[in-house]
Amino acid sequence: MSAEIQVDGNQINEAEIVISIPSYDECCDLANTVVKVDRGLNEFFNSRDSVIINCDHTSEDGLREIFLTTETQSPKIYITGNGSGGEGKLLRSCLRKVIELSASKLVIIEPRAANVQPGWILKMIEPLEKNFQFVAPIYVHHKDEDLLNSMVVYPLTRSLYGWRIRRPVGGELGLSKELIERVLEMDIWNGYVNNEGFAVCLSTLAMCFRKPMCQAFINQPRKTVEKGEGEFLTYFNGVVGSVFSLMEPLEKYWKKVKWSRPTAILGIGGEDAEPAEELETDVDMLHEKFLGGFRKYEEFWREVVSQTTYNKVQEIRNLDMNHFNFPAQTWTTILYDFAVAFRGKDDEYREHLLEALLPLFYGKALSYVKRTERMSVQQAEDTIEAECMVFEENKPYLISKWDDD
Amino acid sequence: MAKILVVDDEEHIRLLYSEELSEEGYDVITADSGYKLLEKIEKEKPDLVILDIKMVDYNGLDLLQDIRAKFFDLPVILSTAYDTFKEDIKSIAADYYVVKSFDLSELKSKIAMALEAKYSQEE
Repeated sequence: MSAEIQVDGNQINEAEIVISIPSYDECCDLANTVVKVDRGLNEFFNSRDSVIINCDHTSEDGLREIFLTTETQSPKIYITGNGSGGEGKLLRSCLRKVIELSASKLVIIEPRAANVQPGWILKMIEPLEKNFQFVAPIYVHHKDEDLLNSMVVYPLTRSLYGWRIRRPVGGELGLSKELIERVLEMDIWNGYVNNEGFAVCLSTLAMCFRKPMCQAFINQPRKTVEKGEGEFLTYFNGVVGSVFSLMEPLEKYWKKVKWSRPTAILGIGGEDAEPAEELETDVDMLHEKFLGGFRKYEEFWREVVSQTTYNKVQEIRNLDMNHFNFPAQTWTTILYDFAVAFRGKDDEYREHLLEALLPLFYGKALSYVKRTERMSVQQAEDTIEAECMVFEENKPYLISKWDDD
Repeated sequence: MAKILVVDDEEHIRLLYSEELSEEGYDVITADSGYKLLEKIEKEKPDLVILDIKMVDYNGLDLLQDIRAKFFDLPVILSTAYDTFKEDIKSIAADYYVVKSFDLSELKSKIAMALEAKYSQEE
């Protein structure tokens, strides 16, 4: 059950634009996000009926009061659940609310992004006004930023569903009413999607439905609070578990897809891009975590991946830091083998499988960081693109393993 | 038979592409500039566009933006003399790019991939 409080002085029955802000315990600065969103709506969409909705997951940390007492010109709706079912369940309540309000445009803004700007609202809504039905952001970023997305989620979703959405993990996303209606028809929700994977699920469905989609260039970096180790593990399991778990119900969509297609890029031009912040990646820590995986998961890896891949991983283990290299071919087959192993298993096995993948991810991340050490962001992007092609070229391997399973 | 629209202001490139791609079995039409390109695409309904980046009066990357805004899933291959354009974020809206050459094997391979990708999603 979800509960709802409306704050505007009048009953809100209709809106054209909805901005949804999900929040949870660890949420950063909800008041700041609400103020910036409100400013964006007033600056760029003043004449439109807009509403800000807060989907509050737990409501135990005073977020409800913060949201309700933050002064805005736009009306607000507060939706909370009973704490079960995760963020995704609440966001589905929000999607239903968008339909109930007959709103044609929804933008989801994550309060984890500490530097949301009013202009982001324009960048995310403008494409929806031009009949695009799904908008994913491209931020200015450091080449080592969000390696889980660059090494795992982007290559996998691109090769599976055939669209080059560079940041399928969100955090900000724009959706049309038509797409939301299709999403709500689907019965694909599970613990992974509900907890950390809602954004990647929405991106995946947009790709499956082939609705006009685009990416909005945001000429600023997205600043987030760095995740602690435990939090990263939860995030890793949630996001990768979502990608793997969606492969079963969406099999008919991804199996037929060959290669990949680009999307339109909107929002280019205007002010000069703000440079990304410097990022120091701890390569020794990545190496240590990769090697540490052998102690715990070596035998398990042997069960999951092919013998050739396993032998290659052993070779990589013996490389010193100066020559460390995790080839794209090996990484691709590892991810494909893990995806097949995930299929149809119980929750306990799946959790173990995802935990066992993490050290290998650290190894791949280390290899990328070392390889791109002296590269520009553009050159690093070219490296990622080249690795994505390896995923696409090897898709027949995945399909063959999937069909044999 | 897939229809390919070649947009290039250099006549010898249009001729080269037309001849070689016709031999591959494609139905090739050409345009010598970006003038009224969207109308031409609307009318001719090509399956794929090969677009020169640097034309005298038109910037291919701007044209690419216009094409993507109107025909979101029309495959576009950028054709260029140099690959420095990749520094422009607009270029990622292209399916592929090829460096102009008299050997069209790479172009032919990219055309096949782009069409295969498009058709596989339409099935």
